[in-house]
Amino acid sequence: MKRFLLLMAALSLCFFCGCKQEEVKKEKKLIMVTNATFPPYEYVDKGKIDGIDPEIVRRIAQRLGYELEIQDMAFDAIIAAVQSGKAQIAASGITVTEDRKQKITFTDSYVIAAQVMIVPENSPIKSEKDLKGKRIGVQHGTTGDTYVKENIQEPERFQNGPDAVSALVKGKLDVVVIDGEPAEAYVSKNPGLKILPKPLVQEEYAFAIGKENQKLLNEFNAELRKMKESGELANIINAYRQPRVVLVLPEKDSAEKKYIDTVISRVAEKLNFRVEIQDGTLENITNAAKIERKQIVVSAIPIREDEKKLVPNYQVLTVAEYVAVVPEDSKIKDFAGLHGKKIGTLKGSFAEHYVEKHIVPPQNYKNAAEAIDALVSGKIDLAVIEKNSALKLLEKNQKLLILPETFAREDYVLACGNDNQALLKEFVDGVMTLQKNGDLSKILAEADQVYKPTKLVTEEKTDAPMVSDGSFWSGIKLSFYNNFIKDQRYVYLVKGFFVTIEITVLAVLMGIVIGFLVAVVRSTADMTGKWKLLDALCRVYLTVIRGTPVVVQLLIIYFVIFGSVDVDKVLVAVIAFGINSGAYVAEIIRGGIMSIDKGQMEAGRSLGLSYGQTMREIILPQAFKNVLPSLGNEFIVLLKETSVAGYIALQDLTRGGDIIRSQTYDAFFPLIAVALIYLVVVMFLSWLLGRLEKRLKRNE
Amino acid sequence: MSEMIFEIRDLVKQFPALTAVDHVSTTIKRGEVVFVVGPSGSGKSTFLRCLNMLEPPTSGHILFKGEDVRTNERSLNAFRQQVGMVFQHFNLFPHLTIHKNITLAPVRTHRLTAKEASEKADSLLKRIGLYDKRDAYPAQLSGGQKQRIAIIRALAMNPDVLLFDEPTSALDPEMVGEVLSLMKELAQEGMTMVVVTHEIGFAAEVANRVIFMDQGKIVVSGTPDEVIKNSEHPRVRDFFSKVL
Repeated sequence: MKRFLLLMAALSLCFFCGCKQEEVKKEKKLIMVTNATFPPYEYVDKGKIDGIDPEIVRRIAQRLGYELEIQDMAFDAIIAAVQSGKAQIAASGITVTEDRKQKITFTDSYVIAAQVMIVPENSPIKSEKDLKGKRIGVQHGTTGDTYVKENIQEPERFQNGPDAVSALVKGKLDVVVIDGEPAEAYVSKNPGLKILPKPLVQEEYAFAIGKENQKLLNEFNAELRKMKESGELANIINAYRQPRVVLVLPEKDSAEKKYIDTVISRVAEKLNFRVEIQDGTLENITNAAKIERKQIVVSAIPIREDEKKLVPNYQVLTVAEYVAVVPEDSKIKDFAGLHGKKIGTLKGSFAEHYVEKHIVPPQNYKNAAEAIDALVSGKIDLAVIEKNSALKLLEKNQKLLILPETFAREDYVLACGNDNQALLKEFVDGVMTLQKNGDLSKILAEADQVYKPTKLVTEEKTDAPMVSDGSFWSGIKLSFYNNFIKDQRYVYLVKGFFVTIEITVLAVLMGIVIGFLVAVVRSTADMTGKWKLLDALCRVYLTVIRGTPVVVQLLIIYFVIFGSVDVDKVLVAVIAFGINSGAYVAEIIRGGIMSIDKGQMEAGRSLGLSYGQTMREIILPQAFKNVLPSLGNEFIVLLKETSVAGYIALQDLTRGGDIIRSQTYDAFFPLIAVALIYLVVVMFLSWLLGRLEKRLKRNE
Repeated sequence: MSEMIFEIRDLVKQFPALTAVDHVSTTIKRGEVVFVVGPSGSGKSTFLRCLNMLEPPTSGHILFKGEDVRTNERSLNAFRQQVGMVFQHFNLFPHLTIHKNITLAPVRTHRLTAKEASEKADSLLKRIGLYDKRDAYPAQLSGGQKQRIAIIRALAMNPDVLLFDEPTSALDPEMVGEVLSLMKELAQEGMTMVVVTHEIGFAAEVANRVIFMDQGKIVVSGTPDEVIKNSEHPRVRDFFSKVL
């Protein structure tokens, strides 16, 4: 007996170890949940989740040897996801609160964000309780704004911190409630101000981990500690907090692109912005301006008049003006009829690209002085150079003059989200300063030199983004191009079409199977009084499915029934639409069965055929034929109903159109195209059904 | 004494509102041609439909070749294979060809192989002169043709008895003859038949026995002469004086 027990113990130990190993294997995957709408902590950038939280977790996961998967979900759901074990860690700028501690454990905090009060040195305000009735300034949309509004009174809102602080300095405010970090900087620049020692609100951000997952908690805390000590944590946070310039450049590589890149990168560097380059589409401009992190957009691609309203906080920044310099006695007085004239520009300059594109290939010179020399010696008829250098050079050379009209402007389109208007202003002011102190001229000159004298290829013209000349047809053509051709957007429709067809076909098959079974059960129960229980089940099924909207059924199947299982969304849709369609098909077929003369059943039975045989051989074929038009109609309805598949983020045909619309802000073509595709499919289906009906009718 | 096909004892069929068949007892012997006549609503059709259990009886017994016809599905199907039925409205299968109408049941019930059934169907079709309609669909036939097909469809099963439920009532007058002459032929060949009809003249000519039913009961049963011409019963005399 003892030996037997020992054996059992050994066996169970083996089993236990086996399990353990399995567990370890599984643990190697780490699922992080976040709500990516909280920049700079987490946000979606070009389809990827980025930000301070994902970056920290990514680094730690890598060091601990985990494979990281990041899932984006609603903020209310992330704590529950960790609690239920669906995810191991939640990182979403989560403020540490007692309530949340009941459900999960927090790691050590990685950010302490405080809203502090700035007051004049001699202020009577000592703490929060003195705030009531005072003039309180806040930065619009900050935690401080919310806190003051909810707990004290309606504050005065400023677009940015500096504005609020200068209002305080001028005595228009009694106190400014603002983020702790910039507050230090403001106070150091403005003598006579102080920060009250106790913050008004303090928030600690930490990661949330399931209570039972002590191991992961320890690992994370250890890594966080190391990152804090090495300064890595601070670096990550600072890097994400640094304002960013999204530079939108023409898509094709060209000298012009290099030139612009150089100019803006240098300017950004001087102004302490990070630069990120994106392809030149209107969509990139509008999207980048939508991202809520500290970010502005600088676009080198032109924005049409009608597109301007799509670009938030549209503004034009003129980096340089180009003027035309001619000899005093020149016949050229304006810019009409410049064709055939010899024009000199600087290699790689904005003017060179401009002249090349709009007039004639220019003569290129290394710098402005050389161009002026060429002009003086009569090698060229006019020189196009930047205004400031032109003015300087003309001081020495009195025989030349500058045509009064500006030849060309080096313009960039600026845009930003509403929260970043101050940042945009900061950038523009910075550029103005650079212009005044001559740094910008230096940058422009340097950028000219970046140009490598490989001849510009004229094919650039055909590759240039399509631009409408304003007429109706070319507007249509442009819109068509933007919606379907550009960036291969038609692929959304093609892929969506196949998804829609896949869902519909499989759901139809499933619906037919379910429908036939239910119809047979129901009519058998009706005709013979058997299968009472099955019949009752079928009735419940019919009532529930026909009594609730298909969207709700789809969502229930996805979020409730398959809520904790990772299952293919197409399968979910097929099941949902199949079950839904089955109910309608069942009633259609039952109607068909009921419509068959009862003499048919009697004839079959009187010949000795069983109930099942009679049903199969005699009743169902006739019923099917009778209900074919209704069935066809049901399938057409189903095809169109699958357009709600987008609710579970399936990219079906309708969704495909939606995606294009969200990129082009154009409703006409995507919607019409989607509608047409549905229409064509439905017409094809009707034609097919018509033929089938005709074939079945031949024997009548 | 020839073999007993049906022995009916105290057969009752009740519908919610009326008693259609009220304690009927009678026998059908092999080779007998029995006509059931009577006024409308007398229960004669219900009686006939009870014989092959299309209407399950409320009480009483039906013995087929000496065995009680149970309502067990399998034995019921086997029993029905031996009892052919011809309906007032033919009940041909409209989605199948004539040939398939005839062969479906013998093949599916394994009474004949596909080949045997096909040959049998063809010979029956030739016999009634409708071989050229072999591959037609029922909708392409006249009423008389349809009913004759319905009869040979039942015959193809080699049944012991054929039940006719008012086989000519739904026909145009000019088509009645062809159906009746086929029935007469079958009767002369010795087919056991139970016929519910209003064709009194035909009954007088073909029947071995005539049953007169009224209000679910058998009023008189006997040779055609006894029942149709010389019945003492006033109700019966009254009926025949009106229809003849």
